[in-house]
Amino acid sequence: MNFQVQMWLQAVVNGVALGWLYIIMALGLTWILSIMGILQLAHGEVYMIGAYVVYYLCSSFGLNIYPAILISMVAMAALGVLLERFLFRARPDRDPVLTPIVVSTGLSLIMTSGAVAGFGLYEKSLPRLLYGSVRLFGGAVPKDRLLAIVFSAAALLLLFFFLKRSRWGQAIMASAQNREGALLRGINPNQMAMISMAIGCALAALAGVLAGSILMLQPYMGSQPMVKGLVIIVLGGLGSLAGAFVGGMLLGLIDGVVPVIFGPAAAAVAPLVVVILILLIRPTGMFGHE
Amino acid sequence: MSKKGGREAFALGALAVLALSMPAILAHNEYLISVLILILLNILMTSSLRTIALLREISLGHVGFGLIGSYASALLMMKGGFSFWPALLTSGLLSAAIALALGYPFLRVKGIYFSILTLLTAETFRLAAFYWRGLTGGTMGLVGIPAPTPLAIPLLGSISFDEVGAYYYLTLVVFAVCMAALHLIERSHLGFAWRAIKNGEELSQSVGINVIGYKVVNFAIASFFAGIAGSLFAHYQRSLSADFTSRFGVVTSIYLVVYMVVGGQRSFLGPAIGTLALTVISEWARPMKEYQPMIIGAIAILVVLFMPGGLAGLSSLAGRRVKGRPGIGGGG
Repeated sequence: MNFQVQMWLQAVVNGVALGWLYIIMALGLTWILSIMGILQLAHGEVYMIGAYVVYYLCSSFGLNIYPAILISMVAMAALGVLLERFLFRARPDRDPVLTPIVVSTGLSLIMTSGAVAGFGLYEKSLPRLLYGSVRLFGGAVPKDRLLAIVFSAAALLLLFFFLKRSRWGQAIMASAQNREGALLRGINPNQMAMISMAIGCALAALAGVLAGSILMLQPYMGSQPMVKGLVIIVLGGLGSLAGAFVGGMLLGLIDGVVPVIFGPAAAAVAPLVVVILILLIRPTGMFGHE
Repeated sequence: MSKKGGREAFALGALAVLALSMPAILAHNEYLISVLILILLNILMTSSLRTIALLREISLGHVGFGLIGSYASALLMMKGGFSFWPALLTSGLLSAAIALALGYPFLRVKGIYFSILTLLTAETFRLAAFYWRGLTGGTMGLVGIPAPTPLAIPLLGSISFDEVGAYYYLTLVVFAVCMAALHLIERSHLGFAWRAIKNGEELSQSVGINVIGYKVVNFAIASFFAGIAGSLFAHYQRSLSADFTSRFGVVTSIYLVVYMVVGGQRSFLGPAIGTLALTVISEWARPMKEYQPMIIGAIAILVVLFMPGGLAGLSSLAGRRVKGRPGIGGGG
């Protein structure tokens, strides 16, 4: 009986922790997508590089993991600014949809093979955020997962207040809602694109580190969470924080709980089924609008 | 017309002779011929991917429909008692049927959403094949897929497709038929409706074109050819795996899009040119192992940023420069 409780609790906690990672990934992707109108398919690779930066800061420079996370986020934000300026900025002679898709897939190939060459294929692991576990409802929950949840929730809250309360955040929101209208009010869309790219990449780095401290680091670690992030955008609706939250939790719980009950094949098919059902009812996603 | 038609017929004839004599040119080197088979299959994939691109939609999950074709064809022969040709056709039709079913929810949303959904679909198919132990061998993979049934020709005896040379000719024949079909479809009223939809969805709707219907049919047709290519792949490879690093991973779909765009998706032959050029480059870069994807990625970025028409656009670009007209426009 106690074993049953333990298994369920473990599944749900894993699901919620995974869900938060997916949410963080989706937030970056959804802002880049709604402000710049591009599909950043190398987002998973930014996540991977962000995690490796922390790994090397900790192992080679002996840094504590918390400052290392901060440095990695800043470094990835800077990378995002460079990427926006030199690769993704829209130009009239370029196809607005196809060009970024190909540029970012090219980027993803370059970053992955660079990681294979530079970091090697062996799995690496980050120091744990916290050791030990807490007792909850008669089962043990590892502390590092709880902390990952806390970090992600804090990042979401910060982003929420930044967007709703600060002038920059308001300008970004305006640019996402109506590019031309925002331009008329003197908001520079390129600047907004740069900021959202920087925030998105920093969030990806955070997600990568949190994942890396729970799971393992390897050069291909980014593709799975990126696919999840993209699915969340479709599920929740483009540019919606609430949608990203609900979609992320849904996917996380599917990944955490469904394999335990129905097996891995069902867990693999479940997201597609959910997405199709939601699209049939609401083509713009749960919280999306035209 | 007659002059241009004559030139095209000549070029086509030359290509056919070249393709037929390729095994002899390559001195019957089995490795190079197997690369050639993969090139043909990839051209079929990228050309059918271009069919979807005629609608200005980019599928990032085309290989998922190849997977359906591969497993369907292999299982039909292994467990269903089919012979090769019916299995080939059925696997194409099955891919098309699945695309038909998914097309309605997928194509009601547009643009980037469609790309994301196709990516998700391909990953779902792959994971389902990876975990469905009873049907697909699961993580162990599917082994012991038979070669195509030997072809009996009166008076001449029968051809066995066990060895790579014969399989090349079988692939070439199916490939040529499929490419001709794709070309004809594009020139038919279907192709014109697709172009109209691409240029203005609402306008097309207002003149009575069933936009969603035509889109779904487009998706199904493209998936049919992906299924055919998948089936040919299965009987060539003789074993299938749905591992992350297998042919059915996301990376393959990404490569297909890159091949298509580097070649130039605006012209019919663009995807073929891109596939050929990039495969030759990556075979050349094979000794560089882990840097191989990096080279392809760099080429993709450079081409898409600085040569919007792709490799196929080079000739027309040069032509325009010569005639003194300003460079490329934004059209497409």
